[in-house]
Amino acid sequence: MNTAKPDNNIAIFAAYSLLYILIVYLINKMVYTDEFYYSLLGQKIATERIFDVIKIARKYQVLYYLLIPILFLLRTMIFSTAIFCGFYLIDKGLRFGIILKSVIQAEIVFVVVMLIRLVYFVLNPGLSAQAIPNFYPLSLTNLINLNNIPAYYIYPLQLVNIFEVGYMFLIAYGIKTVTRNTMLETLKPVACSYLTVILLWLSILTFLQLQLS
Amino acid sequence: MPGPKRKSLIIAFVVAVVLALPAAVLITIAKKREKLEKVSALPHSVFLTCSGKPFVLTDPRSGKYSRQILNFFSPDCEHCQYMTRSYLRCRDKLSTTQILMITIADSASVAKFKCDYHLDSMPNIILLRDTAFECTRTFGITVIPSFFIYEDQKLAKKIVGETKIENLFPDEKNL
Repeated sequence: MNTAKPDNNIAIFAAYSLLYILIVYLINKMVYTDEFYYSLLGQKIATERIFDVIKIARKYQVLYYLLIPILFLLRTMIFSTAIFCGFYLIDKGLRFGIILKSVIQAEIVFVVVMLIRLVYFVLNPGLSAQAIPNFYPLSLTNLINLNNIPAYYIYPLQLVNIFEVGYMFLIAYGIKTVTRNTMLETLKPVACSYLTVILLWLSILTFLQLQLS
Repeated sequence: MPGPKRKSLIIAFVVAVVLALPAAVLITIAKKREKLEKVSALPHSVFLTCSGKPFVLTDPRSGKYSRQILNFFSPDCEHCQYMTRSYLRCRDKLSTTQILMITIADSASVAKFKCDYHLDSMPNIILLRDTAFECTRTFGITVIPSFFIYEDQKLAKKIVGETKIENLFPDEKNL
């Protein structure tokens, strides 16, 4: 059994973090403009209050960029720990480093998602401000009219997408290449652990959203 | 290293949690709907006025207003203060609607709020104290400000969070 090289993990992590920050920066510059905020909030709150919202959003933007690697690290650690526990519970204990490396590498899927979103927004300048935050490529939200459903259903529908499946496959593939198990043997614990975490996350988030609606 | 029995127990526990949380979400959705259904007609909730007298929402003396807005607020909430300033700015056009500003704050805070915003100058605004926590029990309030707009004692609209004054008074022009 090979072991993951920590230096390699850190390099990939740093590269993806920078990519994330760059894409988020571009989305903020090109999509989340002042006009976007005025259009999104114009029906809900007064114009002078939207100005305050924009001022606050701009003020804390740097903090948001700094938070990206921290949230990224948190996400990879949570998924790696869950998958580690999944393998442990079916008596196929793996080194945590192997799983962490696969999870970090598989993050490329979400970098691609961010890129697709950016390109889609740039190519569709006429997109309504309400449609922008709801857009998630190749997800269930593309098949359903979101105007007819409560807001707390939108995020769960966004999470049902091809990229999540691809993410699980990539993690399983990364682990498989090291452990030499079959793809199915690896995919099962990965999918079970990953989906468990996703379901817990969704439940907590939907619960909070419901409380605040 | 835990044995197979303990591992099975751990898996069973995780499965139970995974099933329980979505169930809790579904129960919350059902409860929310049920609460909204209960307040679809103006409920008989009782609040206290600034002078400590009971005020029943369905009081026939409110009958002269066909439109009532229940504005759940807190005196120290910046968004609520902004909404109050909006009422004052448009006072001439809002006189046909009764605005009931309801809070769980203590009487001293409510009296100070009334004085600070000169709410005596608007007889259609009544400040009420919610000592029985009707706001959560009956109306399910979790966010302030929240607005329940009643027309002929029937719920016409519910708005959560700060809003444009035009959304509260859609029939009034040039607010």
